[in-house]
Amino acid sequence: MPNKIQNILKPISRAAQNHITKRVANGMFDAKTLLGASIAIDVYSNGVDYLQISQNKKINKQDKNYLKAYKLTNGIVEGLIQIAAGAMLLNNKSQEYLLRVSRKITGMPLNPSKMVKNNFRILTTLAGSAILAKRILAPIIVTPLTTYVRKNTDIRNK
Amino acid sequence: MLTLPFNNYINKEISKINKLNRSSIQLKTKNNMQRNGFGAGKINKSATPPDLLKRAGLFFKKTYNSVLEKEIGQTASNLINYTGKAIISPLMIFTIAPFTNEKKDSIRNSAVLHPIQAVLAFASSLGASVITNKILDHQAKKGTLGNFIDPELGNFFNPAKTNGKNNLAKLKNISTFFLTIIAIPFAGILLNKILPKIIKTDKTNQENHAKKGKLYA
Repeated sequence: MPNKIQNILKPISRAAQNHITKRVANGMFDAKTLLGASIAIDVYSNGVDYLQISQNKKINKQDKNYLKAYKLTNGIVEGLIQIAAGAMLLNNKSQEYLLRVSRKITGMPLNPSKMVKNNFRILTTLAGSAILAKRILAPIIVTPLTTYVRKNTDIRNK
Repeated sequence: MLTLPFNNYINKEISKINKLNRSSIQLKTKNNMQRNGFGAGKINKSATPPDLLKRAGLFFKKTYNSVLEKEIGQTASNLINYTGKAIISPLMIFTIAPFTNEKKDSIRNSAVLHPIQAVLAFASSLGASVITNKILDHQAKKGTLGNFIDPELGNFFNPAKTNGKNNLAKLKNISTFFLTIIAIPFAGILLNKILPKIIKTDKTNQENHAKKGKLYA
């Protein structure tokens, strides 16, 4: 049985092995993949909501249009904002600055090992992109954008 | 005649010792109450704001340090994402609400919707990932996943090159990512079933299709 499973999974497992070895060796790549995964999950969830709204028969046409436009703009803006925040925070310079700030505030981490540095990088990027950028900045941008998109869709429908 | 004062002396001494003992016992009980007592002792000790701040700071430092030393993977990123959705997005809705023309009911409902959605999505993904992680651990110990992911055998044969434990952790991250993607639509279906039971709308609201649409979205 074990040999059969290995034979079936060989082509997938080679790619997965390369990916995993790269992630273990390179902390930056690990952080980038985690950020990319979170962005993909967000865009995907917005797409699923869009499909569910379009299939729902209990919603009025006007509200349907508005909700569709909202989900579309939300997905695009959230993705773009998270990419921008990740690019801002993943740099070595910004990481050094953030380490200095954390040392001043909490006194930690004094002598960071490689693993602690990687974890700090992942934590800061995820907190900055998933909480600050996506939850606070994105809704401020999305609400006026949706009205603009909705107007355009209304014109198209007429 | 000599015995009486002696006795008196002893009695006095004993009474003194007893008093001391009592006082010491009382002190001990007080200290124990303050340390381990439920409610009153702790409140008395932590009533002053600087103490509270210090305790909160120490707790924050401990958790921060422990988090940095552990491995942060896909589940942690999911947790960060969904806690943000549960806590911050309702607050943002209430802050943006005065600038929009929506009614109070719809604003309240949309604020309630976000935490429920976040909890459902996180719970479904976590439940699936815990089960698969256990299966992966079991299979890795058996050796069905090969030497690359074997945490024990791989290190024994090739201690310098193989990194079985870390490889297993990364494999778990990949599996949890795909499981969250699978779990999101199921969480949406669950939400559609649960929401009408939690948020009780009026009859007029039920007749109004627009509000219903916003609830079900």
